[in-house]
Amino acid sequence: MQPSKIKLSLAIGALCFGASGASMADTFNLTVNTIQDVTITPVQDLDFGESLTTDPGVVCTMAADKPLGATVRSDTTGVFDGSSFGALSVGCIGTTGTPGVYEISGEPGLDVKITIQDEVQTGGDFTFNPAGGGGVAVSYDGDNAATTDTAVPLSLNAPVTVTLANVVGTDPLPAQAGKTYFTVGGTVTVGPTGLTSDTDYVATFNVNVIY
Amino acid sequence: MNNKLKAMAAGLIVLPISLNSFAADAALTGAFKTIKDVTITQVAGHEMVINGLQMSATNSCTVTTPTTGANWPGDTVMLASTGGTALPSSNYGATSGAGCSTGTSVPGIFEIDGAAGASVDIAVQNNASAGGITFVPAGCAIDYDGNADGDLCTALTAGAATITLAAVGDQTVSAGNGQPVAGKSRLVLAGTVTTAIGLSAATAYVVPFDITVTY
Repeated sequence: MQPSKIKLSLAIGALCFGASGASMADTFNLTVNTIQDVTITPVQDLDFGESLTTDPGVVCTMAADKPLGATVRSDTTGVFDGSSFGALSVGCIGTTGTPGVYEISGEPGLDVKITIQDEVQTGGDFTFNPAGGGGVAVSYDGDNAATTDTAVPLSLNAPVTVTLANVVGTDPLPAQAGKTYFTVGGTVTVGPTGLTSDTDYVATFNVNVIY
Repeated sequence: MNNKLKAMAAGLIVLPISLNSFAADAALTGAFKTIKDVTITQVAGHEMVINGLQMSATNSCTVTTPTTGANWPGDTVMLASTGGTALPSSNYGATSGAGCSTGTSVPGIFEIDGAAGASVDIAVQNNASAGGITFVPAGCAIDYDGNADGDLCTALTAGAATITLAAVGDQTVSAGNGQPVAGKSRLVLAGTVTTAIGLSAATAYVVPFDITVTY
């Protein structure tokens, strides 16, 4: 008896379309989510004010180690108590300046490394150390009940690691998910030729943030 | 035959992982301003002259120390609104002492110029000496409060005082008073001169002395 042509055609068709009763291949989708880019955004400009004399060798430091909890969005107000934030050292004229405040945005709950770097100043005979004055970055504790965020001191030209805030409910308000904040005061040192009287100057520095 | 449908486990696909980490760099700036240099200059026409010193050793003359209530040079020349007289008191420059012919001298007036509202330390050299004559200063400098009127003349103590230069807010004053100028203050200086040696009659002796002003 000859093989059924119908069965043969079905078998051929199955071979052509890759399907049979024993196996099947089909295409499905896999979704891969990349983490958010890390960004740096100024929140408050750094300004010493009219606080330096023109004399060679003058050293003026602005403290930035104790910002207010509300300023850096931390619930740990025992650490971030605002005391002496912006205080100018002996050597400055006046008593208070305005430290810089900056926001880092990235993936909630992840760690980032922050490196603050000095630069050669081109605007006058002075140097600027952005880590002078004890600027800090907030490292969130990831605990909705505890107030144990930490103030991690920034280190000139060396990375420090902090944890970004996690989603609300893991890190409570005022923290913002995926963000942290760091402060910069700094030290201005006038060079041997001095500066010009009654003149505005701009100090430059760099910050690098990496996962 | 039961056909079994087997799905390929697509979820086990391993994707290549990049070795490049996510990072950000930011070039940031900070601002500061240098304060206006502080200076002190003689006010023209008010160079200090002490008259009447007699020639024998240990003789001395004292010019009565100006205050806003007496022996006052006047708010006008002092660029102040103290509530004292606008013009010089009748006894401004009064001079007396043991070995001094009572009369009138000319206290020195000096102008400090710097940043408006800044605090300044004043130091007048104590016991400056030349040609056998020693000078012990006494006087006061205008101390501003940043508001209309109410200026004070802060006395020198051992030749030193700390005052605040006039700010913009000091420039509004009541009628009949002197006119403060932002960034300035004036110092009026009297004091005592004593000779250790015999001097020549009708001779002008010069005693240099320093006034230092510092932020």
